[in-house]
Amino acid sequence: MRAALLLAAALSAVAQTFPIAGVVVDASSGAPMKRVRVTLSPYGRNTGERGVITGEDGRFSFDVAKGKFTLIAEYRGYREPFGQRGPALGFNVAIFTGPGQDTSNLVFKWYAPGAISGKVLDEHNEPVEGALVQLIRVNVAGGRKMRATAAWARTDDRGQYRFGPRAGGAYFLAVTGEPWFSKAQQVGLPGRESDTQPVRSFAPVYYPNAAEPGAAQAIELAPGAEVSADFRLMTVLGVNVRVHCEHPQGQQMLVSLVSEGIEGLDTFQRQEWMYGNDLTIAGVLPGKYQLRVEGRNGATSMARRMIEVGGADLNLDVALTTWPSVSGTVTFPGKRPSRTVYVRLVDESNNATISRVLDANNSFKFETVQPGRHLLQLTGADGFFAVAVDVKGAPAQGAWIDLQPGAQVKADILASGETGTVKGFVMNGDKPAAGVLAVLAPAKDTGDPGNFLSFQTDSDGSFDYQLVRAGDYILFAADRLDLEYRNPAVVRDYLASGTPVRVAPHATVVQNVSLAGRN
Amino acid sequence: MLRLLFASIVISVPLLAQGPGNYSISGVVVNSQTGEPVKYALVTLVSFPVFDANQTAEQPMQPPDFKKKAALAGETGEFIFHGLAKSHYTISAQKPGFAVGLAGGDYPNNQINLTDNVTGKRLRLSPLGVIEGKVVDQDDEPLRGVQILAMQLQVNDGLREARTARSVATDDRGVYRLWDLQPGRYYLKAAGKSGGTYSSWQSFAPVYAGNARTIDSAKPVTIEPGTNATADFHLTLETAFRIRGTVQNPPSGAVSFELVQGAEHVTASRSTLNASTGRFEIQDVTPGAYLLRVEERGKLRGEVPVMVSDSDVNDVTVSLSPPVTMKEVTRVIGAPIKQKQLPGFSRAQSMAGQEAVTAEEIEQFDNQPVDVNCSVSLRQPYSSISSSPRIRRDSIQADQEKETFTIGDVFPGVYGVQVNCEGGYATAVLSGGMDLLTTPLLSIQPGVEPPPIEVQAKPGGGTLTVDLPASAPADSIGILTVPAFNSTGPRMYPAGQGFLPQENNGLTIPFLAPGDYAVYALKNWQNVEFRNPAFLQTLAGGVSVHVEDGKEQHISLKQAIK
Repeated sequence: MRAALLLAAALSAVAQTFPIAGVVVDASSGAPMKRVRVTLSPYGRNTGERGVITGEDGRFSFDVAKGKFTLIAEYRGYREPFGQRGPALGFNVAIFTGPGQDTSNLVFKWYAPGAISGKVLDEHNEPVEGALVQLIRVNVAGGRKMRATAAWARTDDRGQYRFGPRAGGAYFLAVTGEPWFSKAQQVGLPGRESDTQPVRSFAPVYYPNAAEPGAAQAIELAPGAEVSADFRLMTVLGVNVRVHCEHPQGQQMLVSLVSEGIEGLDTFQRQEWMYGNDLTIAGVLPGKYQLRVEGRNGATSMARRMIEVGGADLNLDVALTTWPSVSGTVTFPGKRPSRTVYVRLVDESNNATISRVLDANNSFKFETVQPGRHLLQLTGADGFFAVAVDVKGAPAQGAWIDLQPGAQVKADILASGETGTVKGFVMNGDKPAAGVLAVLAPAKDTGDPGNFLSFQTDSDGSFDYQLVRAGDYILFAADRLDLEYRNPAVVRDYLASGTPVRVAPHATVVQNVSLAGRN
Repeated sequence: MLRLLFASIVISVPLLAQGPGNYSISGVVVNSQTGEPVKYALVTLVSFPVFDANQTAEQPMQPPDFKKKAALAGETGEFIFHGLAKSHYTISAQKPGFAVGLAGGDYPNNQINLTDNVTGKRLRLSPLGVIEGKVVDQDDEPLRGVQILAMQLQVNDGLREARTARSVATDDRGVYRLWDLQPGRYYLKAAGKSGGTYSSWQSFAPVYAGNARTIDSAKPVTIEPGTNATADFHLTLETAFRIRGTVQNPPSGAVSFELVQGAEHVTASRSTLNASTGRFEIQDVTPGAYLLRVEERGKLRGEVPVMVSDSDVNDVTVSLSPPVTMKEVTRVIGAPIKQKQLPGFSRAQSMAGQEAVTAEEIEQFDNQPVDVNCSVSLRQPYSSISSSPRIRRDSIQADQEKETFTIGDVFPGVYGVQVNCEGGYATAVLSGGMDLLTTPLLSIQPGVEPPPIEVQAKPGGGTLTVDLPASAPADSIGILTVPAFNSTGPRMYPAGQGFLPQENNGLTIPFLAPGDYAVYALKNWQNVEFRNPAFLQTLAGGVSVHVEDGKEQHISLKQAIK
């Protein structure tokens, strides 16, 4: 009898399920949302996914075992993770199920994407077809405010463009182009005059129709909003920039004239294909540009050159070089980790990341890398990181490498596996706070962003930093996700009131932290 | 005011604007359909120097010196060029949204022989077309990222085939727009990325506007100059499944997975292949019966039928095979005919322009043998319309001595065989034990070297002289010969191209296999689907003729069939 009871208890424990249920609501209106596909999958896995579609009441419901899960909502082909708070910031809130966890009344806030669209006209109110509209996104990524080109669009025959769906937030817009007839003057008809006559061009404009990038203003795109941004391009006189460049036959070269635009970001003034060895870019306005020549479709040649365009035509003879490359080896303190190790290069200008699997000889190679400053990192499930990088062939500061065209850089990495774990709860008074930001900042910033760790607390208010490099840290929490925690000026007060944490190799620190700075 | 504005946007070279003369050309640019003025069009004037015998005596010959002036027309479409010399000019206008080149050339209206001021010149621009629309699902929800393909049909060697003229993806509102469309008929098709499967948690099978599954049953959108057409799609999203299995001999190169349903070939947008284990998975497959084609482009291919109903399909095994080379042998039975036996042979014509020809040489020429050459084509057998390029491989001579030919890169499958001979006709076409004149289909098995195709040919043959209808221009007419006996199919003889055209608007067709034929004169022969059995059945108005070896038959085709 007693044995039977025990068995029954054991069976019920095995079979015990917990609900993950709630409602999807529009973040702005609070109204339930129908036709949203909510998918549930075990945390950190991409198998075992289950999906339901919400009805009129916006409700979803799953029965699951005790564990940790990821919830994603998808509507009209756009996906958002549970726990998002405004513009996508790369965080999500995992859901813990089990005894004592209330996971049956989740409110899944849907931040509807918005759209920016508009019309580009010329001075005669004629639509400009094929104008290049550049969308620049301003957001906080990895604790740093980033401005990066998020998308490009070309206007259609009515001069219309559209960016959608786009997460809410701040955006800049830049528009460049050239009058259709300046191209028509160049091709298809006999006559030599078109070579020498002044060529019309459009002066670039920045939202809201500003001539100077410094006068550009951001568009604040609210969730679900449709923002209209129209532009007027004015015809001005420019000169011809003739580019001559020897390159293997059959290679297509993409030639770009890039100027410094909004907050130092690239503005693509022109982008044209070069099929033979010569290209004339007509109607270029006076100013400083970076000329970029890039082989496409597997071609490995490229060039970068600063040019200054004045009042006369410019003839440029451009010599191609190779894309920068970075190769090297990794030295491990003991034996090589059992799981895959990745070597990464992170572009400082836009956080673009390229990864390579470290091969069996502990060597790696990046063949074609964009010029600019890059951070060389190690990643992988075993948590090995670079403690020292020996760089030859390019200027470097620690793991930051300045890559110029043609550079063939050798970088040898000394790896360390000395990592620990930091976990705990963010407390708001005596209650755990779910969905808030917990930051583990190095006590001394060495300029390596890999020393900063951030976590959006899960449904139970917990955070869990794995593979923390051994050393001294300050732990703090904030009720906002867009905190620029790598900006010392922004986090000075947080650091002052934070909790010091010392992480020893292969040890676990359990430390709760109070929510600070509610705003 | 208007004048001033106009003057400010003349963009021609100052030197030319003043020009070496006192004449002017002025006029207006108009929309050829509506007659309304087209504002701000670019008007280009090109002068061709007039040859002057008096001047060339004093000045050395110059290479033709084309001079060009260009100006934007004004707000009401008006333009004027001043200071022009007497010369011959070509004037043209262009503007985005209007046809350029031959389609918009407005010939001969654009030719001006300037001897006095020209005013009121109307330059007509032909507007291009637009197709736009919205794509929604069964709940009227917009679908983003649906690729809309604008397909056009064309006839190639007697078979209709579809090609994608343009394509565009829907935006977040489900809206798409195609502009600058040349007049013609467009079949609109909705599919996933790059025309492949639609990748989402639900999918749809590619479909034509009006819910047609095949281009045959689809209703085209006809674009005339200036047409602004709307074509909306109501798609039905359904649960999609996965096909998993193993490629037995996985290659290291890129492999594509194609879902073939009749003439529709849809590339799987989401597929994975593990190159070491050969395990593969294809996502987003909607229920249906498919032929799954796995191909390493041009190198290896495998096909297996797969039925998807209401669950994932697992354990599909695909074996890849390389293409084979077919051999072809022509055996000529009997002595070749002589030059003088050729139909319509004329010694005067053949020997024209040659002087001091001896009787001996004439005799020698007359008795030269006419070689028998047979070529074999393998093609995809007739299957309505193909939306991918048709496979056609022709034999090339490999060994002149033995009269052997080869057809390279033939993947396993079923092919239609077609044999054309010159200098004689095929009496038998065999492959292994198969009589390909009775059934001109050849099945090539994977991994098996196919038996060669053997063509037995007899020199000579019958001759048909056809009088063509006088009404139509000869170069648009083709003569179609449809044998009433076993053969590898009908043959088209373009009247305007060779084949001994006769003076009286006729055509002589030599080397015909003896037997009964139906013969047709067809207008626009390039667009005739003469390899489509259904088309042949509808064909009427032909002339029946019995052809005998070594004899010449004369027929008259009064009317060309449209």
